[in-house]
Amino acid sequence: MAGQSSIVPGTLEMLVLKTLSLEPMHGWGIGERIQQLSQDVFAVNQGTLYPALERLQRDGLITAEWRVTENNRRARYYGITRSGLRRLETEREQWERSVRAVDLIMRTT
Amino acid sequence: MGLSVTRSGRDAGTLATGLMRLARRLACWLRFRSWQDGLREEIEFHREMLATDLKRQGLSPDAARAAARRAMGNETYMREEARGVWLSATVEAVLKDGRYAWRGLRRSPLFTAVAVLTLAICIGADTAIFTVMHHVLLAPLPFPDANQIVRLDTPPASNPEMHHLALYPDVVRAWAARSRTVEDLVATESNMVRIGADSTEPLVPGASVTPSFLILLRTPPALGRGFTADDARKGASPVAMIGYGFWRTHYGGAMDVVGRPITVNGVQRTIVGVTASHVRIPTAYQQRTDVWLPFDLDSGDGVLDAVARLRPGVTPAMASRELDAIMREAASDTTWAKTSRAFARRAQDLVDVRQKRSIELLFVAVGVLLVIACANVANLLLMRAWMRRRELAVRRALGAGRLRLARQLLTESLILAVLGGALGLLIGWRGLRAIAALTPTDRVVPPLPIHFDSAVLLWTIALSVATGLLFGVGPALLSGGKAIGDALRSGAQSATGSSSARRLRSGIVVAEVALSMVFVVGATLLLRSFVALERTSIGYDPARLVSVSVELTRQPPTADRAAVEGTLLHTLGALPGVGGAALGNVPQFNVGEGPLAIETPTGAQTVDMQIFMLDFVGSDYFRLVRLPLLQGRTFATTGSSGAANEIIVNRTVARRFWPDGRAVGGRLRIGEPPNAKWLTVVGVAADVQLPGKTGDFYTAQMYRPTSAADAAVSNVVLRLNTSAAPTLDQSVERALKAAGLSGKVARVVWAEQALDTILLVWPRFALILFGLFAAIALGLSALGLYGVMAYSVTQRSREIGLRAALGADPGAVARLILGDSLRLVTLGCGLGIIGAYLAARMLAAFLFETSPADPTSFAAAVILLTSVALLASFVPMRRAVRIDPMDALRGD
Repeated sequence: MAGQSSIVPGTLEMLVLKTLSLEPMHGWGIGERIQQLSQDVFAVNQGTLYPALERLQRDGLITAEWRVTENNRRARYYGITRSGLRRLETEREQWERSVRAVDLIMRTT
Repeated sequence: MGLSVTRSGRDAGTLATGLMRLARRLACWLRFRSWQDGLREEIEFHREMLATDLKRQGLSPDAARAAARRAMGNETYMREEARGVWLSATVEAVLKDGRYAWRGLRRSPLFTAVAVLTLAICIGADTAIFTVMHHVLLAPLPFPDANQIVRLDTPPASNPEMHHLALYPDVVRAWAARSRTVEDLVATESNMVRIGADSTEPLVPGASVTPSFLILLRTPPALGRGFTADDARKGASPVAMIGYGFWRTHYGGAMDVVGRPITVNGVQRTIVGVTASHVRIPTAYQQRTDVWLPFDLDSGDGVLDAVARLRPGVTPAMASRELDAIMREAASDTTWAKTSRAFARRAQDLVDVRQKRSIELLFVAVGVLLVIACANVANLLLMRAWMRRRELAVRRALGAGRLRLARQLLTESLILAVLGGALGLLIGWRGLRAIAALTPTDRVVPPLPIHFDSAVLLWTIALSVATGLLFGVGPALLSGGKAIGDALRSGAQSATGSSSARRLRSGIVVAEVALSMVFVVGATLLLRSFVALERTSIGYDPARLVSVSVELTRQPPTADRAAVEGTLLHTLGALPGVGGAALGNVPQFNVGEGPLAIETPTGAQTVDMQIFMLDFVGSDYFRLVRLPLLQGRTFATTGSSGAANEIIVNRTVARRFWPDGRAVGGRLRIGEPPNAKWLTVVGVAADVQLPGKTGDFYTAQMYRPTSAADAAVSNVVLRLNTSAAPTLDQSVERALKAAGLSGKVARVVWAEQALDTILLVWPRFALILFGLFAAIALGLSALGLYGVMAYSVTQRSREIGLRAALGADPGAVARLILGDSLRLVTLGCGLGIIGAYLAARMLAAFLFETSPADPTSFAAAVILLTSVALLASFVPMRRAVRIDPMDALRGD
């Protein structure tokens, strides 16, 4: 698992929301998908993933329901809510702004 | 790896989202267990998926599982983190405090048991007394807007406290027609009625009411309809309503009861409705009414009761003024109206003043008792805090905030309070049943409930929480002191204890002793008063006297009545076990009413005396009950018409109206002409004295011959040879039948029992409760004193050991300890005597021939308290004497 690093601090929830905006998914699937989409750069730490999922539920950004997986196993599937989508938008804008700003600073020679 | 710092949830702080979040949180807390299981399952699923993944990468199943487990890291931590999202830190901490406190309490079961029991007993007592008070003094009638419902009364102006007197129909009619303060007025008349055609059927409580009765109460019938104005008209087809209880017991709650016929006093009527279960005549004596009949106020005669609903905004005082004016105008031609006053009174205000006072007194008493209990528990907690000061100090040193520790102690007290409250509720419930059994169900006070209502529940909850806060504060405050630092440094044996804590605890004990003193003095005074009451002679000899009321079912014409009563008397007098018989009644409580006119040597004089005792008795009566005739003679032979104009008065009446009390030969008129005739006084009887009862109603006694009575019931007093005659009514009925009379026994009253009810039940009630309180208070302060002394001995064991080592003999050590305890007790007694002296004045109204400052009672209380205190310090003293100097000096 060389070359993997942990997720940029403060972005986990945004990434989860982004993942869930594509399709509802269970916890394991979210971690896999993030890893896959980041081309194996980010490894999701389950120790932070589940508290983050709870937090998002608490704030009403995602909902959860028990469903059966393709392998006939019970799992909790998370789906994004409308306010979750809105939140995703604002987070994305903020993120892009910060990235640009960091970029500007770092390019200064 | 690392904790991700999140900032979500911070920027969405509008009120609506905040509320939504709170709602979701609450939902999660409510389903906490299932939520936890879900999380566990989810994490397990995650781990399995991880293992499957690793297996796919070529690891053996076991190795993959192990690797997955490693990769997952600390699952418990994860779960805690996830939970932390939902449970805020405070909630978490409170739960932790609770668990910790609970464990601590379980570790010292004796302390917990004593504290909880102390509280439970006092909260229980408070709850029970509060229920009684709420019921008797505060609870409004169970009808809508019941505060506007009043009873109308016309007591004598000289004694407005009297209530429930019959009203004259003219006055009631005038009120109904003219009053503007009254929205609706209902006249009622209660009497026993006979249901069914058979004359042997028992009588049931019935009432005649004017048609708007249920409308005034704003309570629709349970079934059918209420009365209409048409029902009361002359010539209307006769109808009746039945009471809810009667419907259930006599008709099995049949739904088709409306329309069925019912025979009431020989008249066939149609049942039109069933009243709701709680309907009764507000404020009347009659507790239950089985049959309701309609009547028209305009055709009503006899005497009535009246209930009114006041217009919104009208107070009883305003209504009383108006009704009084109307009464004076309507009955201006009678002397009666001049000496009476009209009153509109709410149900709560009808309760006897003495009862009201005794209940208030009890309430204050249990309040004080609760204070003692709190003091005791506070004392226990203080002691506990002191013993745990090392533990607390360590925790403090390890970084626990002062607030955190204080909160912890507070939690502990609250848990004690809640446990005490719960147990107290149970005790209160039992206690209430005991009080209900002890309380005479007075005619005005409805029977006490044997259940709590919501107000009482709230009261108990408030009480236990307040108690918890109250006695939690003391220890919590002290835990913060610098004693903690000292405690770390010094050992348990050598510490002398913070002097402020010791002073506080000594102060508590002194207060407890003082308050107990008040209780003990109160109980002693009541006891002495009770003994005095019991010993008082009432003027005649009630031993084995029985009053039998016989209802002759086929009423003889008046002319025959004397003959029938003669037969009756003869028959009953001949029964086995009967030593003598006379017509009359014991105890005498027939009410006589109306102005008296007395003829004095200077002419007729009308006297302002509305209510007095008037009994109808036979000529043998005075000899039988052993009530001496001081002057003159008894009535001429029973039944002779000559006696009809004779009257016998008691000494009080004779003294009041005739010079030197020489009343024989004087003339007297009861009521007003033309109905009232002049009667001649033929004798003066000794006073029947009812201790503690004052007022004309009890002291002005007059007797007339039975031939002047027109009651349907004949009363016979029997003097039995033995005190037990359980089948008296059966033998009386058999004897009646044998003598050719058809009748039955309506009532058998044992004079001694009846007098006991009238004179002793309330005093006994107060005495038992007060005695109980005094015992509890005494026990609590003994416990408190014991605690303080035992603790002080532990604390001073080194000093005592040193003294012993230096040659102090056991006696000196014992004197040292007892001296300490006596100092506290003396101080407490001193304060207590002052308190008791002040408090006893409140009791004065309940004391009979006993001074509130009775020195014997005070002395007895001091002796009792001191002995109990010495007893409580005995065990600690013995421990002090047995301290081994070597052990104590070695220390820790």
